[in-house]
Amino acid sequence: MEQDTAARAGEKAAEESLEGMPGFVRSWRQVYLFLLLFLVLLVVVFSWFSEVWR
Amino acid sequence: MSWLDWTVLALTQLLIVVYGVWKSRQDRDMESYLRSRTMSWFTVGLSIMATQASAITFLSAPGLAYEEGMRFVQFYFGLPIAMVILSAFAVPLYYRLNVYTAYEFLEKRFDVKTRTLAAVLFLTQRGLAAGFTIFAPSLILSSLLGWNIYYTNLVIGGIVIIYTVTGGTRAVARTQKTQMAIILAGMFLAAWYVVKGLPEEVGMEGALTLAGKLGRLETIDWTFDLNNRYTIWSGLLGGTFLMLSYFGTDQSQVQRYLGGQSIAQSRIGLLFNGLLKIPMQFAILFVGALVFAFYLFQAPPVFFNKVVAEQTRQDVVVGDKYIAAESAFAEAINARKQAALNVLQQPEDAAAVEVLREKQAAVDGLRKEAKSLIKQGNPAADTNDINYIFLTYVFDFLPAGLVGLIISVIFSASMSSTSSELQALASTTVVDVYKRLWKPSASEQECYQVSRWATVGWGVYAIIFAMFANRLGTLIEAVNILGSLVYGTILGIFMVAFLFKQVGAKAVFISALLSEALILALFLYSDVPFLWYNVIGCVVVVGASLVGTKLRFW
Repeated sequence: MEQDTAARAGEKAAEESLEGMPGFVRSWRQVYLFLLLFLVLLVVVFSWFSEVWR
Repeated sequence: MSWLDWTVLALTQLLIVVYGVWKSRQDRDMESYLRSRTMSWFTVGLSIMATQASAITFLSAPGLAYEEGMRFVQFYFGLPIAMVILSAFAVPLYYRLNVYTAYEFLEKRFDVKTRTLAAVLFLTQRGLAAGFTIFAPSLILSSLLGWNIYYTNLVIGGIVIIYTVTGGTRAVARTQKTQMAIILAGMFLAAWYVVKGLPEEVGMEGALTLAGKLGRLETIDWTFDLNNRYTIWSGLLGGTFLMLSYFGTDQSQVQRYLGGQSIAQSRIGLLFNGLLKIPMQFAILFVGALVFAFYLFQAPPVFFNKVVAEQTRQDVVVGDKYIAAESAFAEAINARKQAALNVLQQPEDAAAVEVLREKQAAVDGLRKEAKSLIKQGNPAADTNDINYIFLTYVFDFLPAGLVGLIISVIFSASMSSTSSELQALASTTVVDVYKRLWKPSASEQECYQVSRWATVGWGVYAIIFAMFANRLGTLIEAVNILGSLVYGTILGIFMVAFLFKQVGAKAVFISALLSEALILALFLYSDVPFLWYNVIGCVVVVGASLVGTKLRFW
């Protein structure tokens, strides 16, 4: 029972680990939000790019 | 090709293979051969990108931008969304279950029947697709350089088999890292040379002005039109589903991120792909738009596939008409060049821009007429020359050495995709079929040996398919249809597994069989476009599973 609980806690810690990320990143949710905002930024930049040279 | 080109090609390919094999020379067991959880996020990310980007990506994309503008970039808008979803849900799940293949998860969630069905569907489709990954660049290189297509297939396929069998997953990932470096360097140098080759009075700003006025820098299409293949809506909606299916259920991609040192490293690798893929695709398309601007001042051929063009010139029925069309095309190109120079002198003059657009329409019309003559001369001829545009520019205008590097880019892109495919086919054969159904008592060492033989077997199968592919006519369509016959069903099974806990094994298995029967019936007896099979297959599996479970049919 205790072993199961410890194993599950280990799994959860591994899933939440931010190993390899810069120090200012606090959670994966922040990273996902950043990527989705980056997508929005790309759409805006591409629209501007097409408009400027049209 | 000059001796310098041959030297660059041979040295870069040798470097890639020797480096990959040497760095992974100590991997001699099943774990390191098929999964090797030792890779950093950077290696995982580059490996994912290299697997997705086949040779056709680097040949087609610039040609597409040349012909239609840069709207193709929207096709990738669903990718970052799919990366977030997979990173949040699929990666931790695959790690928790400690699986080698995506299909093992289906047995844990449903039963062995469902796992085997998905594995067999994958093996059928991906085995043929691997042959096509070898064949497509071979066809184009043999057509443009006069190489023997059989030897080209053998060289590309043979090299991939050697380093994949020798080094396994780590060799594949390490070679992919080097291959990506060569691909990016080659494309960057090609772009630099296009700009350098522009007339002095044009320059970069002039090239962008002209390409922009003629619609080659259009990227975003906001219209909601189901008949328009590339819009922001089809990219965001259709693209997300397609990328979820490809990255979440196709073993050739799942195996890439399961090679990460930890969940965090695999996640960052996936997200890194989500971050870089769209800018990279934009850059490749941008090269095509620059090539278009370059050809405003250098006469392009009316049709870029030189072999087909020459066959049409020799045709007794349409030969003379084709030669006349070429002369008319040359005159139209001269008129367009004058109009382009006028626009550069007065970019804000709407009348000058309108004249340029009219001249471009005349050029497009003559290209269409030439394609129609080709079709009249030989109804079986492929009149799509988009894949030949970029390479025609490379062979006609790039200096010796750089041509060899670009051929190396094409070899690298083809081999990086093929190696992942062979690895995925081998792991699915061994883990989901051999060890699960044939010989459950097989030891790790035995599985390792069988994995290596499976890689050789699938490699030989892919090369044989590539050899015969030349006789199959419209091959791209054939392979896409084959993929669409199974992808929808596989995605449906995984969606039920992830999203609907109440659905059991029997329900999903029967629904998957129903879906495949329906897709086959549609294929044999209806005119439904094959791209819709993906959506229909997925919806039928999910819908029938839910309805069957709710009404207690199964």
